[in-house]
Amino acid sequence: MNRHATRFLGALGLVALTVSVPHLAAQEFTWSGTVDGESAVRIADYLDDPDVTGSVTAAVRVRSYIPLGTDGGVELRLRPSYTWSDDRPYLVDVERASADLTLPGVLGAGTVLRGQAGRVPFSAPAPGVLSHTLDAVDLRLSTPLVQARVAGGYSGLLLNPVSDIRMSASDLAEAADDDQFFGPSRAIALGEVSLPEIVLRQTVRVYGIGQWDLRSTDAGEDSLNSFYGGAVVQGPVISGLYHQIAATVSSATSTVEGQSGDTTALGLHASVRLQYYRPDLFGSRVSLSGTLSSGLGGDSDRFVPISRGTVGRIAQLPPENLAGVELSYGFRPFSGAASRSIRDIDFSATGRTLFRVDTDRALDAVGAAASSGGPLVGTEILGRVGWRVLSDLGFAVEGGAFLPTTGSSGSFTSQRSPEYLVSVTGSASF
Amino acid sequence: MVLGLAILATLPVAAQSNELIDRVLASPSITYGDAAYLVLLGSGRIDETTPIADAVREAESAPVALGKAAEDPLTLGDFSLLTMESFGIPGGMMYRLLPLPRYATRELAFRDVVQGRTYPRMALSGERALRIVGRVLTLQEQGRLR
Repeated sequence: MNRHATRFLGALGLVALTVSVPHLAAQEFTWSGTVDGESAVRIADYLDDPDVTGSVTAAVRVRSYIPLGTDGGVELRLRPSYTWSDDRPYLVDVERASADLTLPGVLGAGTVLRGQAGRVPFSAPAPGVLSHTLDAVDLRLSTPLVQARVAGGYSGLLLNPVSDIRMSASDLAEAADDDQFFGPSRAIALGEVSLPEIVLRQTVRVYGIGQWDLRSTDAGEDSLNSFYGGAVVQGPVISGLYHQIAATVSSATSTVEGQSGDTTALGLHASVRLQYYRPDLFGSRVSLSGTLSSGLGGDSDRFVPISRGTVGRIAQLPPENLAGVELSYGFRPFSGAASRSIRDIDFSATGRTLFRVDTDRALDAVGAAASSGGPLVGTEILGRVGWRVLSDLGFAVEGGAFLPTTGSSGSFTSQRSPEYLVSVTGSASF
Repeated sequence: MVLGLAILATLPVAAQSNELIDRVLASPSITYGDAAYLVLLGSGRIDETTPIADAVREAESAPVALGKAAEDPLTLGDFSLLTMESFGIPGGMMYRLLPLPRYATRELAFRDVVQGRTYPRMALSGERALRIVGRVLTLQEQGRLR
């Protein structure tokens, strides 16, 4: 039995287990369905014609709860989905299949032990490092003074089209390869200690992550192992104003099959975010944030996140070697209306300016200046209107532009002109 | 008792008796009779002197009724449906098409009225039922039920 078949049978087993167990607890069992659709038009000079894309995802959510003792219990969740898109007529996935355990007081008064096993959302405490679905076991112990988390996950059973675990050149090369059924195979371990509201209601979180590439490399393919250590401080500043400061240092070792010697790179990812809420002022919320992902030449190297993501809604740039400043404002102008559906019309605007950290390295983007040029990458301006018509029906329209910076201060050549995007999304549940 | 008094203090009129509050708070599964009395009293459709049996008859006169006896236990979904109908809370698209307990529960969960586990068929304690009525009354006071 080959490797793919083994993995596929493993995935089927995971689904079968989660489907069968709800029958043990028919009393607390429920389901719902969702349909989400998106259509977008992208207009740019480098595209011959406006690029129109569309996708529709239908998902079923099944939940069942098995009580354990007086307060504890296990919740079983399953969420299979089907996605149609212009470039792929079908994609059947299991977005979630998990058993979530909660045991209050198991290690004394005021303690809660929580655990998740199966296919679950898996995130690092700091932004920009890891936020992805994994097949994982995640244990969290909360006490009044300290919270601890130990987790381990595996990415090799995620379907290739949905996997964003793209760390090495080999991972990236396989991203659009239809012959690859599963995404990159990596093992991830995470440990975290959190001190909730330790002083001045500030919460401090310290964490470490190890990531091991399980790829069977052929000649010329690379593998990449990495370790991350970081800290997050977050909490209120004054009434309505909250902050989060996060920093992560990484060490990534790359090995190319058939070549001698490993390459080790140190990276840094840092972010600061301020959020201000004024519910009394039309539900206003203001957010100001800054991020930096290293590529600092001699001081540090490219920061390699575990889940890749992109920077910018329109620009969609690779996350490495970038810094950015973002300001957004959102409000609900009819928040005082009597009708709930009118109250929930939400307007927001976002401005984002991006910079190259190391100007000796060219951006991995269309029209990027070779290796010289300036630090400015460009500015994105976005507007969005969201309307939750009913509790189970909502729409949103979003539009914006990416204005690349060219010339001596910019990272693009004059060939790159502004790019525009308009998208419409809708969601319904049943 | 303190919880019951605190919540019922927000009702437009006083509760029928401390005995009823004690019974509801102590109950691991609220009955249709007690639930109908509390919800209809909160929505102003009955007064505090209305007998439990009349409260059930009033609840059953609604276009969408549960069809249960006064002593039958209610699930979270049943109670959500009773609350939606008694307070005239407009539901979502699916509730308008199919006014079932599952969609009533989902609507009240969306509005943060039902908190915690939201399984429509789960048993509902009297204490949790009182908390749900309390949250509905708070939303009503704020003019945010529609």
